[in-house]
Amino acid sequence: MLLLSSVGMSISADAQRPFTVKGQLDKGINGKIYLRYTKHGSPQRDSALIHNGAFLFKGIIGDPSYSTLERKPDDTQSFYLEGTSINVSGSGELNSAKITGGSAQADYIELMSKYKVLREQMDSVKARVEAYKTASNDPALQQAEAMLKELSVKADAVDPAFIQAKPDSYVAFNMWRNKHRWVVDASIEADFKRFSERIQRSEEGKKMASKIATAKRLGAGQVAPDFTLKDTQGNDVSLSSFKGKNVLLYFWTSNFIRSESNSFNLGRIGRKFKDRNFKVLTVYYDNVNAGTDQLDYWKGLVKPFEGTWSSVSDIGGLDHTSGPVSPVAKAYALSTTEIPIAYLIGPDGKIIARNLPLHQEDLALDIEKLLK
Amino acid sequence: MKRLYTGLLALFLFSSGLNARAQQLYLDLGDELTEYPKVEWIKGQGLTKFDERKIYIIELWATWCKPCIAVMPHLNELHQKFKDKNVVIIAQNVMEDDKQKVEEFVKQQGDGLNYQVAYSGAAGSDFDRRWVKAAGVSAIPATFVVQHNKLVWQTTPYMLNEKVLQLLVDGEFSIEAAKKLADGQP
Repeated sequence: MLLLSSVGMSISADAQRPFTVKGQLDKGINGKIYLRYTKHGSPQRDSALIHNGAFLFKGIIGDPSYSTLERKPDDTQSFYLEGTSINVSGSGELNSAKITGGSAQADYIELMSKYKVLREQMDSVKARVEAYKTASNDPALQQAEAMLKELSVKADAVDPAFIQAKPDSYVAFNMWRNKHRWVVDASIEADFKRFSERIQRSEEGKKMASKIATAKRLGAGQVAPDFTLKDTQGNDVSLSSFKGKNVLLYFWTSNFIRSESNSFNLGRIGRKFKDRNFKVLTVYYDNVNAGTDQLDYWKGLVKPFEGTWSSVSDIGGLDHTSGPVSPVAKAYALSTTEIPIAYLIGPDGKIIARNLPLHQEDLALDIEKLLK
Repeated sequence: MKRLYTGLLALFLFSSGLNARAQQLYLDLGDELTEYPKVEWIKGQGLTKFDERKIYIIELWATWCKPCIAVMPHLNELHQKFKDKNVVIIAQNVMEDDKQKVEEFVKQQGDGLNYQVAYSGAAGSDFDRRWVKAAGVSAIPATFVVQHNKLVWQTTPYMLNEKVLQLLVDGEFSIEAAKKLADGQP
């Protein structure tokens, strides 16, 4: 097996394949065309020229990827690109052309046609519902509304059925893993393992396996990795110094929409349990947008919570492109899609719960039940 | 966008420490509530004090908040059914400073908005400080439920239905029990 390196990552030859996208549209079409796709997790945008309707893209790709061809804002088509020969052909514009090639695209076409059939059925029933409403035809209206409900249930069943039926499909795998973009629970492992070996060993498959492994390593019952970081006064604070207390350990940044409401909730939780053996410990990572002094910015953010929280910072510990840098960020496998995250740690230093739902307004009630 | 703006404003005020009235107020579950903040009553007789025998449903809304308006018929229905059972529903306007716009809106609703309506004024008002900021309200619609002079729930109007209100009337309210009965549907 030939090993190729790319951006510091070793990718074996069978995980990287050449592709061609060969197109023939109406012979009167000329101009530029773009191909957007994802390669090794990063968005790509290739371009080619159309000459008498013909165009050609050549490249290399890892996992098959959801892609879009764009000729003009109103002439586009999405499809699944993979390391094989893709054919785009039609006698009109791009949006009416047929795209074939590779098993991923075949799956994608199948899925889209399922959606289309149901959508058309629903549209026709919806039109009848409106007509019956106008005509005040109640019995017919009731029947039509019941039919609409039935179709709705069918529509909701398409994705799970597709995932179930196609364990070796990248389309099905992407559909499934899209639901698990953020912090995952170890319980998803059973569903992950239903996918084929080929899928599990793909680039994205390996990333998911790693997320699941992290969920196990940092799940309930596991020892919370100890660390020492500095507070606003520059003093060292260790997680282990809180042994004997329940600790709500919150890793956070401030550049996301729920940042304030999370902080507020944590203040509330801190106030509610201030007479119990409980402490909120927050660990701050940079705000990528802040141009000013990160340390001062952070100190300002935590000032209202003085006395309610213990606050430390690990500025620079998480790189938003390459991932965890510092020992703490690595120990807790922090990444841009897995921060903010809060753990509840018991007085014995063991994790009670991972990924507390901080946006929930009555989280305090659930926490109360978990406190030891 | 306005909600995010108001939230950011709150963050600025909190972090700048420049606010002269920096006495940080908090409104948490279980806190005692005896007085209603100083507001202007646009509809209904209004109140200055909470009656410990009554149940208050305070609904935060604004004319620019479409989901707040969409849920008004639902609240109106609950008002019709529970007004004689010591349940007081208040549409508390927040996060806007055009009082005339609010008054016109209320007038337009007519009987579609039969419960009490109050106007608080924009950021910095009594209601804003003591309820909106103090309870960390960053998005509306938002609902406060007050019973026996205590804040018993901070939630959304989608969690209120007849079963939940009956629970309150029967004196058997708990957040857990209410959540089980709520459908969460707008």
